Amino acid sequence: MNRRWAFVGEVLFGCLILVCGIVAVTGSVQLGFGSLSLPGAGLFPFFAGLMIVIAAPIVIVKSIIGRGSDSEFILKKDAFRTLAGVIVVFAAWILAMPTLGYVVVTFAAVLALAKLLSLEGWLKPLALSAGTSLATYILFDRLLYLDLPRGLLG
Amino acid sequence: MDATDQLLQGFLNLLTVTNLLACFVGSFLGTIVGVLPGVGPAATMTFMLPFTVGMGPETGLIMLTGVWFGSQYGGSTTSILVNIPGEAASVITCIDGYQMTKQGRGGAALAMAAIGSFVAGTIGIVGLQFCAPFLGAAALSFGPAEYLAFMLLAFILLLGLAGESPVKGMVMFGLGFWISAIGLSPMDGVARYSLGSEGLISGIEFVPLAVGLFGVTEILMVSIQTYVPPIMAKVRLRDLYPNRDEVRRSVAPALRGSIIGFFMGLLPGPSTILSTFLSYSVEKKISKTPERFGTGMIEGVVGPESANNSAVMGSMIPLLALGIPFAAPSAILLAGLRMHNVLPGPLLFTDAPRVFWTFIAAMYLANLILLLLNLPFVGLFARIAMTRPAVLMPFVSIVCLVGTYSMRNSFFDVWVMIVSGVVGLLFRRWKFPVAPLIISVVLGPMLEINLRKTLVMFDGSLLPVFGRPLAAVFLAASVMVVGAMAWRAARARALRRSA
Repeated sequence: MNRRWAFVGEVLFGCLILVCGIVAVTGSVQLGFGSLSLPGAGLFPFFAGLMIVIAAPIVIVKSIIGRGSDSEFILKKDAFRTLAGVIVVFAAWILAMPTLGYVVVTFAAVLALAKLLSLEGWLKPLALSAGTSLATYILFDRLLYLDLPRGLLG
Repeated sequence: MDATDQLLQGFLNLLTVTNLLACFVGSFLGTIVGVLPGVGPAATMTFMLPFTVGMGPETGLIMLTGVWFGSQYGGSTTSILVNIPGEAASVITCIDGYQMTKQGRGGAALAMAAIGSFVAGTIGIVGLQFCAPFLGAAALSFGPAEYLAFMLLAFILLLGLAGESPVKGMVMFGLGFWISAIGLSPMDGVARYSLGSEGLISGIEFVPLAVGLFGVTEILMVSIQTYVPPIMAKVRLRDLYPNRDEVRRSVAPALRGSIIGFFMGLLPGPSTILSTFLSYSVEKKISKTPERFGTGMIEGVVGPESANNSAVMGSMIPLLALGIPFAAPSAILLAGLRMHNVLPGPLLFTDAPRVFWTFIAAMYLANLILLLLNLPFVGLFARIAMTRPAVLMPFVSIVCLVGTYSMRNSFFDVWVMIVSGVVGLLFRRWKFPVAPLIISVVLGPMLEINLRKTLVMFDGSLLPVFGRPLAAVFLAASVMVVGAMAWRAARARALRRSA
């Protein structure tokens, strides 16, 4: 992500927050404020939405005037790929869990994460995956009785 | 029963295997968290939150606070040995701590930082032990109007401390209050913003949100950063002995740091961090050789390291006595206590004295454990700090995923966690402070209830609030703080223009 895209992203992110504020305000109007002596369910979220609706445009204008804030990180292509990969692994962990069960899915997820984060070779990542999936299974399922999905192995 | 008897009873309650183990595990994990750059106490406390549900309230509180307390001890290790702060409250320790390491006095700096932390921790616990019940008793007279006015003051103070942009702080407060409003409304049970989804009707759970914003964001941050292996100086046990001059010069900074930290902890905001900066500048100001700060002055290590420890204990006072958290870790503690149906606040000392006094006893023990852990095992912790993110982060990811899932055996919560993590990354990218959001999510329902109760009580008008002396004081203070913030902003603008 170069500086120009970072700036566009910043403005878009501000707009997204503003949309959240508008949703909060319109939703609260539909819920109803009640009367001041007997306030309704919409009164509190109305104030919350109002705070966002007032402050978000200031943030957006500041971003536009300042041409984007300086940031500690600018995403490069490789980093973006790793980031997307980590998110996909998390999503896959949820989607595959009911079918494949905790141990298999966690083994695969740790292996994928270790490789994404550049753990070199195959022996170390495989050992880390096997160790993590088994150790966390014993800790959470057997010792803390968390009842993790067993899937095909169940 | 007087305070001494209750404290003794607290020590007796502490003497169970579970409580002692929680105290040790919390302190140990906290030290590791403090040592590891990137993984902060708030993130770790949120990982731990789901696993404390099966424990008793005091056991959960002991473990979570142990993590927070321990992280303040551990943070100094990498600051002093590698010039990389283990966590934000140890940033300032790098300045003189690392210089001492370069001069071969790293061991002494570590030892004096640990001893200073122990002294500050003890002073902080004593202060907490006496001040919290006292403040709690005073807060018994708080009605909804006083709570409303006090929360307003706290939020305004937090806005002032929201970093570079109070406006971004306001956005985050608004978002937090809105998130807290999703689900059934607290007084009349009306479904709000649920979009017909079963998951949203019961509201956004705190744990997935917090684990996402702190834990997952941290994992995502690490995944996009290039790892540079740190070069660690070796410390042997015999290197830890400070010389007589270093001990003599450390006594006063440790005491001053303890007092500064404790009082900073009573204020809203990231007190563990701010107290270290204040302590450092005080030490520099009163030093006869201020020009030597930055070249390896022990005062610049001991003062801040003491301050951040007593700030943790200071922060516990508003949380336990008023039920209002002033920082992100204390908001997580409040959420943890609520899971056990323990409501911190004035009634804690009468309704659940066991929780409070066992917690106080545990903190004395944790302080001792941390001193014993941090001196002889400093080499071990230094080695842990060398763990590569590629090894650590997959494990942390699984703990986040399982912890969130296990709260309600719900994959919906895990999705909430992932989305929160991605949004948290964007917040960090564009410098939106996360602490106001977390605090407002926790306090939202309480604020709404007090607002609605006050309006009902005064028949739709907020003017009678000014007629209640305590509430009027809080409101007047709020106005003064807003005035001070506006004056400061105007002055800064004028200075910029003249430059």
